[in-house]
Amino acid sequence: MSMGGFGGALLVVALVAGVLGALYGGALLVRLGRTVTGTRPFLSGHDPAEHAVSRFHVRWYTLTMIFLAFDMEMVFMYPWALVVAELGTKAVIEMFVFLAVLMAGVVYAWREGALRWT
Amino acid sequence: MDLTARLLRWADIRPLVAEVPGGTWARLAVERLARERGWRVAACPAEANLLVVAGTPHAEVEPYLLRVWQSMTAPRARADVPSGPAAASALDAAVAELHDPARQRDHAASAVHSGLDPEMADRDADRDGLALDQLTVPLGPVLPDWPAGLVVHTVLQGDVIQSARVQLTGLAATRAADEPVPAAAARLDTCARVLSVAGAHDAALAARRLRDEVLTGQAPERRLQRWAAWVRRSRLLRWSLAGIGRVDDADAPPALAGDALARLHRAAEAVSHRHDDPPRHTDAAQWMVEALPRLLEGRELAVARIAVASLDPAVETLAHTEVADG
Amino acid sequence: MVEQAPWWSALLLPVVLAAFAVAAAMFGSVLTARTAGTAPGVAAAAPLRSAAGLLVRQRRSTLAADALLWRAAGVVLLLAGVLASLVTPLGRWSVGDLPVGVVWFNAMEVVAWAAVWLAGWGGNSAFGLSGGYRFVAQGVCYELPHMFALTTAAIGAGSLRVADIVAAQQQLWFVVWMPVAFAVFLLTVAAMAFWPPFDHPLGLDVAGGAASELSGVDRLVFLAGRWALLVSGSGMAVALFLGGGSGPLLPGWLWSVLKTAAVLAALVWAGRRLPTVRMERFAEVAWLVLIPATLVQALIVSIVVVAR
Repeated sequence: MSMGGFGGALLVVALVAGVLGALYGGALLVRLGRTVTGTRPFLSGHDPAEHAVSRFHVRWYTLTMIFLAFDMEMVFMYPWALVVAELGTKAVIEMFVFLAVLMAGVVYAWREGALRWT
Repeated sequence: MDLTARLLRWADIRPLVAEVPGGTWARLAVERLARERGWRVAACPAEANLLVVAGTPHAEVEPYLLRVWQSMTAPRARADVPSGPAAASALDAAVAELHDPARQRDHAASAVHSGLDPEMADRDADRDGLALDQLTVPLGPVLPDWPAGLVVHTVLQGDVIQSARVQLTGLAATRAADEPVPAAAARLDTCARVLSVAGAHDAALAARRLRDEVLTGQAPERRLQRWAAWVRRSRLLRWSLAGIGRVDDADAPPALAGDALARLHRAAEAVSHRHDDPPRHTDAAQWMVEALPRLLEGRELAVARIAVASLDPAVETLAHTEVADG
Repeated sequence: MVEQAPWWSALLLPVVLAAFAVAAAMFGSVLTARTAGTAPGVAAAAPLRSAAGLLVRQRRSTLAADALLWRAAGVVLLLAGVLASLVTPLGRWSVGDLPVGVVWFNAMEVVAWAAVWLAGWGGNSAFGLSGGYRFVAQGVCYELPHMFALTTAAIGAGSLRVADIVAAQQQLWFVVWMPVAFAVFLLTVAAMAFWPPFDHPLGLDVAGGAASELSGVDRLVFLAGRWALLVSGSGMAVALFLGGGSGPLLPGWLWSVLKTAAVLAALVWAGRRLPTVRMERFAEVAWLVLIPATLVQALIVSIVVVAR
């Protein structure tokens, strides 16, 4: 049965590819002219002084670290959701103590200013 | 009639409004017509198909307008609106141009490569002493919901402004003869900008409609009060604006005191009680231009935009002073 | 109850999503017209006219743009937005009733992070880059509450299969005893689809943000992808919390359609009323309010499940 599901996914991918083809193909037929390359990016009417692609603010790295800790936890929580009713109280206690430990980490990171923007 | 021509005629109009000093009345007329005709204003040249120049641009401003025009692709048209009464006919002519497949094919063929070759970003230390890339990002003169004639040259690290320098452009074109916008309409205009930059789409649109109606003397009391009440009561808006662009200097004009939220609440209050004392003063504009770098440095980009919208420096009033002094 | 629909049902999926998206866009446009004081009849056609304009539009690519990644952004966004609905049942039928349906839905939503960031990065524009990073921050902050809300529904049913979750609501819809999870889920669906009030990545203050350099059909595909995400999220909210296709008198598929339309209309309406939620201010809310709130909700649901 799961094969059926993923088979459906492949079919949907093919369909969306068809829709995209129709959109891009249709636009190709009705467009007013060829694609313009090398347009200047919008900068309030100024020319760019340098390329925009650059290393961004450091805040994103700390935010991502905190996120990753929790995200790894989710890998456990999805399968845990299937068996918690069976395993009972012990499973609940273990999972939520684990989550409380992670939450303490978030509170620490917050106190250290990891969620502060400027 | 071919399919392209048909779609072209049916397509919506997306104006990018570039206001130059002295163009306030023209912008008000353009924004009113755009609203009445159901046009959604564009945020950037890529989204726009109509460049509207509100006011008579000084030669100093033309290069900025040209660069914006060059980064728009066909279908495109430019409407020069020197004054309020000229708006309807200028927009009609531009729409006719937008609907003309032959002229639009010409525009498409004439679009050019900019031929620029910028350098990679350079590095400098941030607040924690980490060396990260910096970008030079000028704000204005052509930017939605931005005061006419103002350019703030910022150096950004990520989305935080490391330094800001103010430049005024195209002021020589302002004519002292222009009648000032009535106080209530000017206040609503500023409120609309703040709400728009803060992303309160509905409230910003409502403020613009009220502003247009105040100018024709037909603003219905009930809707005005309902809008003002929403501005005063919205908790999320309070949360979003509190503490931004706070002015607490002793030498600051009293009209600017407090943060963006306080200024917005005061303006809404004045509008709902129909106060008609003028909200803007030349000395306020002068003070703001000098204080802006200090108010913006170290701020996040969105916060800086809200601060500028909420202070709304009437840069063009400075031109009169200079003329009067000299 | 919910069963695997025949293979050709996959053909209907994009059609149904597109119909929801167009109807919702028209509804939004009529609301705008009401505020602007213009005729609602004319406004209803505005989304279609906007699409027509983007089709005839000459495409552009910016100076030294990473054209491949930049254009891929819209394609990937649309693909992920449609695929997210693979596991969402319409009444009795589901195109792909995967045993890990909830995880699949979430995985497709997360693809949007890459797509929006690429759209911002690829254009080599300062405003675009800023918008792209705003979405990464929003994703990082609002994804966890979103996942805990999803998990809470899964715990309640003891299954990650959406069909089982719908079946578990036979007696009582999950929204009744998991109100916090439901509210957070709706909030974060808007955040994942960068829908107002979570539209800061496309903010007017940065000239359209991540989408600021997109023009023509590239822009059309990107915006269609955003709609697909929003509709998929609304559909999933119905399946996880509002009993799916269950309801009196009317057939199941119609109940699914009506409930999804109601959720979608609420999101469109609320988005217009509320000011933008900026991560600069609301990152802390996500981590220190929403996550603990959803955790307490998950704990309560776990205790109920164990006790029963």
